[in-house]
Amino acid sequence: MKLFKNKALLGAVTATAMLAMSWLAPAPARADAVEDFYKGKSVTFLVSAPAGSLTDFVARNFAEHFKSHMAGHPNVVVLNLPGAGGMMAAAQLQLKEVKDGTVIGFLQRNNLYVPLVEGPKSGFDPRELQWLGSLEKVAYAMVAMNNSEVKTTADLFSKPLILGATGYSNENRTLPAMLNDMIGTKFKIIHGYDARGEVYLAMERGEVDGWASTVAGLTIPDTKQMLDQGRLKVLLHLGFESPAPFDKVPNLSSYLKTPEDKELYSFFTRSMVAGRPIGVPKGVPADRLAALRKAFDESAADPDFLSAMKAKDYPVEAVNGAAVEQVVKDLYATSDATMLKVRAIMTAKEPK
Amino acid sequence: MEHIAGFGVLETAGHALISLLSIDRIVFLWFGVLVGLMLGLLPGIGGLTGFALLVPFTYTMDPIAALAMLLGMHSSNTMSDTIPAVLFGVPGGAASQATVLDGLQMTKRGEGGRALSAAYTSSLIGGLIGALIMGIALPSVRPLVLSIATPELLAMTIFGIAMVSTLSGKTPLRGMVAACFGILIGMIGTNVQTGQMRWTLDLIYLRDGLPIMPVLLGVFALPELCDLAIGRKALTDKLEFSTRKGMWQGVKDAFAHWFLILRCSSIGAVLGAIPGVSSAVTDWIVYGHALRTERGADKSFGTGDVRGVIAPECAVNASEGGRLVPLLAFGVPGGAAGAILLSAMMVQGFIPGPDMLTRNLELTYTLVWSLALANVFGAALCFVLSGQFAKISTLRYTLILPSIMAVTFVGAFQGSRSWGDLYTLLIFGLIGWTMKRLKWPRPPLILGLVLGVLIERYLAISTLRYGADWLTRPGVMLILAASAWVMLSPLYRIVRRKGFGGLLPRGSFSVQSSDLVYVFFIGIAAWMLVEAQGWFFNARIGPTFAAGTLIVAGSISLIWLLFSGRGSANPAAEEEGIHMDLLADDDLPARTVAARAAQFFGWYIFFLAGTAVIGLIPTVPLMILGYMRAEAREPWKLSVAIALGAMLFIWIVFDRLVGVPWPHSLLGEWIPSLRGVIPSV
Repeated sequence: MKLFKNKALLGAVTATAMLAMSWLAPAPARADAVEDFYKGKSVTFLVSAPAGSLTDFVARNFAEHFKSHMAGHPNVVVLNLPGAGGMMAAAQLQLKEVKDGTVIGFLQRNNLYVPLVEGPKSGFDPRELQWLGSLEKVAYAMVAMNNSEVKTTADLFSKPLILGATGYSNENRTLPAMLNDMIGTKFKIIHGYDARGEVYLAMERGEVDGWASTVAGLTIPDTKQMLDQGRLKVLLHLGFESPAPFDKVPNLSSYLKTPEDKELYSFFTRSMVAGRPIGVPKGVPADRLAALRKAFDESAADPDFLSAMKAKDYPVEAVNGAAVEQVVKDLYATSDATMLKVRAIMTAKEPK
Repeated sequence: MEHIAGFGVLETAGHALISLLSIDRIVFLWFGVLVGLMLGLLPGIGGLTGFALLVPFTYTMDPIAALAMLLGMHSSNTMSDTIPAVLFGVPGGAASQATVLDGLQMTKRGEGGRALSAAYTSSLIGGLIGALIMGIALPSVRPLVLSIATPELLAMTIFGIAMVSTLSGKTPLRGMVAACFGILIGMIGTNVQTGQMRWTLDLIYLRDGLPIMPVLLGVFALPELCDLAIGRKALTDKLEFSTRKGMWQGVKDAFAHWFLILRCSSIGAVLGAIPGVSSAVTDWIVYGHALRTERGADKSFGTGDVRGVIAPECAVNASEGGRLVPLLAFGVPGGAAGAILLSAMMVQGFIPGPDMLTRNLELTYTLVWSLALANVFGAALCFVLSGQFAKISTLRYTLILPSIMAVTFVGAFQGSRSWGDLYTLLIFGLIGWTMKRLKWPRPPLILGLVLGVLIERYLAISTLRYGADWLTRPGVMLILAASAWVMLSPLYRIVRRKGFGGLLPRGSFSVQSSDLVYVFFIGIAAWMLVEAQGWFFNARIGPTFAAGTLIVAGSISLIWLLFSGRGSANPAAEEEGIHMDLLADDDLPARTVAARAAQFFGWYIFFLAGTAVIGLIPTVPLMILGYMRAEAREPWKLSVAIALGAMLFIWIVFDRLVGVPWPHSLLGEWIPSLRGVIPSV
């Protein structure tokens, strides 16, 4: 019996069936319900960065596209609630916002693992959110000025390199500090600089020689210029891959070998897959969540959005909600022994 | 590089001016200036909000017009903030606190117009000097900035805090207590050096530290408003000058003190170039400078001396020019607003760094010209209006006070958009008012608040990087020597006049209830000191030093006071000099003062409760109406009109234009459907 005339129709029916199953209810009725719900409503994007910042720029741009892909085409309002490394917005979303799917949080990746390190006092639990996805993958690379003693990757293990860094618990300090212990690099880390601008100024005046920069940070025009002119060079990727455009530069896979070290180091790099996580509070009805996730996936792949971001050198590397959820799950599966070491790395020691 | 000398630069600057002076660019510069002026008028919001409003429009604009508009907004919002500072003693922004001291006194004398006009004339000159210094210095500024490393920055911030001794007036020990209190408050939050959370009480709100705006509004604005409510009369009975005459007098004042303007503007421009030294302290540092160097200032400052208005006003505007130096030459923003300006610049395709000073020099000069023209436009507009604004000071207090209270409340909420801001405003309002009433100088508190953490951070970087060697750098030794002189010379003068014996009290013992302020400060410091002892060395060393100093200085001052023989026939001679703060100028009995102050703060608590129950915006008209009816039986019609007008204004500016996540109210919890209808429920 030939129920379906062609493959396309079969595909369409299968997709509909799967969509229907994923909503755990008959599709047509629910789809209308979702559309009806969002029609004429306002959806709030709660952005964990100040208005006018790069993150805000991305969020507002994304919001425009999200509106057109979302069922019912709700109006989207962007509100900024910066503070405590995104924790203000995260906690507000989890505890105080309505759970009907009209408030969406633009959070930061440290929100995924800092609560695990700090315990309940952090005021937020990433498992209490349902994730729509993330817009960016983060990777770190070690860069140094060309006038420093360290010229090659091999030099990192024989000559000292003075690094600038921001806060004590920031990845730009923790990652190189771990490498000193694990693979014998000779970084001397000076932390306490306010932000990347101050670190680069310190590099230019010779106060420090380099720092652990995000790979995306290397495409920011002034830094890109330094790289193009040869005043700055990339020495080592602080991950297990060598992403473009520096794919010739070695990464940690040839250095970081023992399983214990790998597990510990991975704790810090795991959340980087979900560099800009976007979520809604638990309790948003399943059909609305599915519609929100679908709108996220479509907006993040929208050619207009991608070209607008490319024009500003912002590298979009989206992952879906399931992937973010997996990151959170993996983080929370970290062994107690590793967690002890993580806490030791993120909190200061008494001076000798 | 070769064309960057002599005529080359002038030619480039000329080209830059011509390219800016096209009508489609100047219009945007004008528009930016207007937005900046309007935002500056409102306490609690300023450049940051302005950028949030304007930056999204700039993405599709011509780059020169876009940056002219942003710079116009940025440099003009420190001009209009002078108006509420002079007229009501409510600084419209962090940059105009020092102006309050003499400006408000002049208003009370009926010289508000003169003060404003002097402020604007000196703002204009200061802004132009700042732009000029920047324009001249830019081509050769990179080597200069590169020669200043973290230890030199550290020394400069120490120099700033040494001004505490001058800004404490005749009560140096109380000033020390206030400064250390400020430092301790500034250290609340996550410590950069160790990741240690200091005194955060497990509140997310305190993790980034207390936002500065609610603290400033509490310490400086609320006490003035409270005293206005206690005095129950207009700020001034009659205007001393006619509108035009007052304005003319202000211009003459500014030009008579041209050398003071020159000095303060230069200091302002240099301070502006140091990242982290915001205009919240620049105004106090130059005020201190004027106080030390101007003839007779140690007697007349704080009593309505026009020089006390001129000095901070010109310096703050000049510092805007200085602030552009690290931004353009190195991509280092001076603060949060600068960071947004920077990202807007990069979106427009300008890359900060050497290119701005060579290949893109013309663009850079366009920015310098934008700054200069914005100063001319902004100051001219404010100047023209200053005489009219001065008339507001003769209005009945019940017409203006409740609306200003509402705006400070909403302004404080912009600190971090959280309930904590509202509590912070109220707590620091009480502290500020008590300090003002009992003659504790407040300026040192602000100096400590801003500079304390900066010193801690720079010190940590310096020792981490250079060990103890940072102390031997010639620049550092020079600046530290100057700091020591600034810090110790007031003490030296006393000792030279009276000998060491002059420092000892020789009276009989007495206790007064006002001594409880010491108990408060010392108690808080002791608690903070004990808490800090469980932390890592690098996280506790700063707090231990500040809290220890506070306790020692406070105890000495208290003991001196207890044995000063006050109230007896033969009290110990008071130290000479001025009281470095505003004085409450009513002679009401203490009981009346306390009752009316309680009423005033009661209205703020009403505001808090209203926000919690029915939402912030609906509370605004209720509170204004309640105040006007209950305090003075103002006519219903007038009260309703003002209440609704203020609500509409706040709704349009904050809800519609800025977009603020309001705190949720109980009403919204009970009837969620109201949320879509009434804003902020």
